[in-house]
Amino acid sequence: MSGRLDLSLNEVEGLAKRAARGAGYTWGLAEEAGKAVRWMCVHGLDGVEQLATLLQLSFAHSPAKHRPASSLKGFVWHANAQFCPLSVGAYLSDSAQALKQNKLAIHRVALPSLLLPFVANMALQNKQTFAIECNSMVARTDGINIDVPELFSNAASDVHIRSISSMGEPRAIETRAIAKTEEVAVLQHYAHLTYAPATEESRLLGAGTSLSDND
Amino acid sequence: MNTVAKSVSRRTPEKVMRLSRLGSFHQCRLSFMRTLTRRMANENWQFSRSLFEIDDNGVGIAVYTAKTKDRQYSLVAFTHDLPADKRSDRVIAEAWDTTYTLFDGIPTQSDLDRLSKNVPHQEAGRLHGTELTLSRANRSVRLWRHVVGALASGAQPDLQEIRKVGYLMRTTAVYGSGKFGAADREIIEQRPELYAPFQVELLTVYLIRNFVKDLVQHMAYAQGGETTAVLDPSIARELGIGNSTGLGMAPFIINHPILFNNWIMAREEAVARVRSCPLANASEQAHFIDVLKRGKESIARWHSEHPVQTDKLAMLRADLDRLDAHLAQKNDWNEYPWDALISWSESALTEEGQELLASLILEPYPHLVDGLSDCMSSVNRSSFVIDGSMTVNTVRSLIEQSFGWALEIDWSDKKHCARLWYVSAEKLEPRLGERFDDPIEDYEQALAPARDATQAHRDLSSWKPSAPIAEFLLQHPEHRHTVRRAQIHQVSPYGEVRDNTIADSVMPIDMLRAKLSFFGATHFDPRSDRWVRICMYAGAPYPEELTTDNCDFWVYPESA
Repeated sequence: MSGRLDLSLNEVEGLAKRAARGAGYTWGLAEEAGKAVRWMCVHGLDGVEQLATLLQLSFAHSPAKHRPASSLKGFVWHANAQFCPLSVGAYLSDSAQALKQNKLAIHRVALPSLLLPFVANMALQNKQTFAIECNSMVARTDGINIDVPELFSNAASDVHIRSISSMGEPRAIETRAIAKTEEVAVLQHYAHLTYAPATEESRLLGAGTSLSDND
Repeated sequence: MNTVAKSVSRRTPEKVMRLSRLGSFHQCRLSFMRTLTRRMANENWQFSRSLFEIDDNGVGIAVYTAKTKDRQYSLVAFTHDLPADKRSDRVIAEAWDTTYTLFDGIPTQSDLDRLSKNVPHQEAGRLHGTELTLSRANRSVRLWRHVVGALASGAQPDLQEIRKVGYLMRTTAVYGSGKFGAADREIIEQRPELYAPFQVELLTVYLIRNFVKDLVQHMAYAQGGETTAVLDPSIARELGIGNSTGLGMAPFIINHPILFNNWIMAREEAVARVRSCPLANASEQAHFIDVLKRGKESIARWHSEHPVQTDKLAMLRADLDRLDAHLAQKNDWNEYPWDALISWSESALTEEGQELLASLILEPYPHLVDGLSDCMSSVNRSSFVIDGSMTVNTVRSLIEQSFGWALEIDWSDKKHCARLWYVSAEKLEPRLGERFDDPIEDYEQALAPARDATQAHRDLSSWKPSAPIAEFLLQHPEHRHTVRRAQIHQVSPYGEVRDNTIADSVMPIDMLRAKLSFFGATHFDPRSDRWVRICMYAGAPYPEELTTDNCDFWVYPESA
């Protein structure tokens, strides 16, 4: 049985951001990953596990294959390979106004629960409530709150997003992030790739010591 | 006669946000330490020491509690027997003379047991959501020995020795905001006493200073027995808490553009409000002259061996002579006197002198200034979300507003990109490296917003101006962080430093000083181009002395 870690939300956001960067995402998308995982943890969802699983798919090595190919011409999106939920999510959030009146179908999204924070951004921007459906499961968010089944789909799925009039009982808001030790270790592994190995020279030069700090 | 009241505008970001000026900032009424001491006195906080179990070798634990109207905050202090060769202020240290946490409430014995297994290990330990900060401090060995020796022999320490150093201990880190498992800022930010920035961190330091005074007395008794002298309160008051700050703090002002904007904007608004006063009455004039005189005493006690700061101090002292001469001739205090003074300073004084003056003119006007403290936090989290409907053309204009000065720079020229910011694997702290000497470019952090903005501006130029930025970002995710910053600039005009943060000539200590001046630090003493020592709370009343009369102007020494 695996252990669990009790992290502050700042810690989990920082870790997720560095891990996404270490896995090859751009700084801006890494920032989105940090905020998305934090948002999931606030709502009691295991964002750490979701991101850890995503990063191991190495989508950032060929980003163009995993994001919508060109400008938003229609409301049914296909990808050659699986969609990356961070790239699709960021585009959804960025396109909130354009999507206000429409239903959207996105085919083959990996780790679709990672879309939830971005749909929440859409809801906030548009002051709307959205339903996100995949594999016969439905989550609903007004941007602040979310109601979602405990086991929202982890498998790559087709996702349908549409505006609705009301949501159900919202999940409780958490002030800490509880994550499995081994999933945290995965994120730490990726985060570590952003750190430069120290040399004696850089150690002295980089921190800028030349005078004794002891008096 | 012109009866229309004049309203002086805030100084522009172009003027204020240069590193050389930010690196010349001084504390002011809005500094976070002064906000805290004013509040503690006005709300009559009660302070107590509930535990002090420290042996004759100085090893043990102590608990000090500050009680507000609604809550209690407890400093838990651990003292250790640190061999001299282990004493280092650097973040790479692994042992310290003393270690601390600020506990939210009153810790139980089981809390203390848990904390004793974690706090002494600092970054290697874990905190819970009941802890608000994590900190450590080392002795100034020289001054500690002098004070303990003097008191133990029945004498008072030499004031000149005390002024040479300024503190018995210096902190080397005060972590808050969720670091190492501590409570997130969101947990506490709605509490009125913690609404201003960095209040838990600075309460921690205030209580550490109290503890250090008790500890040095305790150690003197252990050495001198019954004939030991009690430290004279007036000497004790001059003792601050030192701080060594390195590069870990420099990226903060780049990484928190909204928060930094709010600090600068509050101070600039305060300066503009005072400049807009049509006259200064006799009491306001006297108040200003008094803090100026006392400010000069503080500056007389400010020492640095770093050539850059030595030069700046010489120029500041010359500025003060020019200011004296100017004020001696000034007899018109009825025609926007503060605006006239600031306008005069812009050509007569160096940036050190200009910024000192800008801080000093705020002192007689608490009713115009102090309320701005409430605008200095950052609670606007929605600004993280990019507005994807904004056009390419608008984003380009926003970039031009904050980084127009950078668009003409040849970023391939080595001198403009000689440095880079990275995080070392060893201590997970930011470092500044040489791009062309070290193999570290793959690890570069996003801390060169001017260069990144230039690249984004160039790529945007090939896009249709009316296209939504969402389309551009889909194809160019590498510019996402830059577009976010450009949009943040709309609500945070003072959020961007208008200098090159990776130039061969960049002085990271300027970034450190800008931040530390808002804390209320004084006596900046750079130890290289990238770390600085400061003093906090020197002159401040201790908890048992704190009153509404002395809670504000303690930063200015009473007399020579």
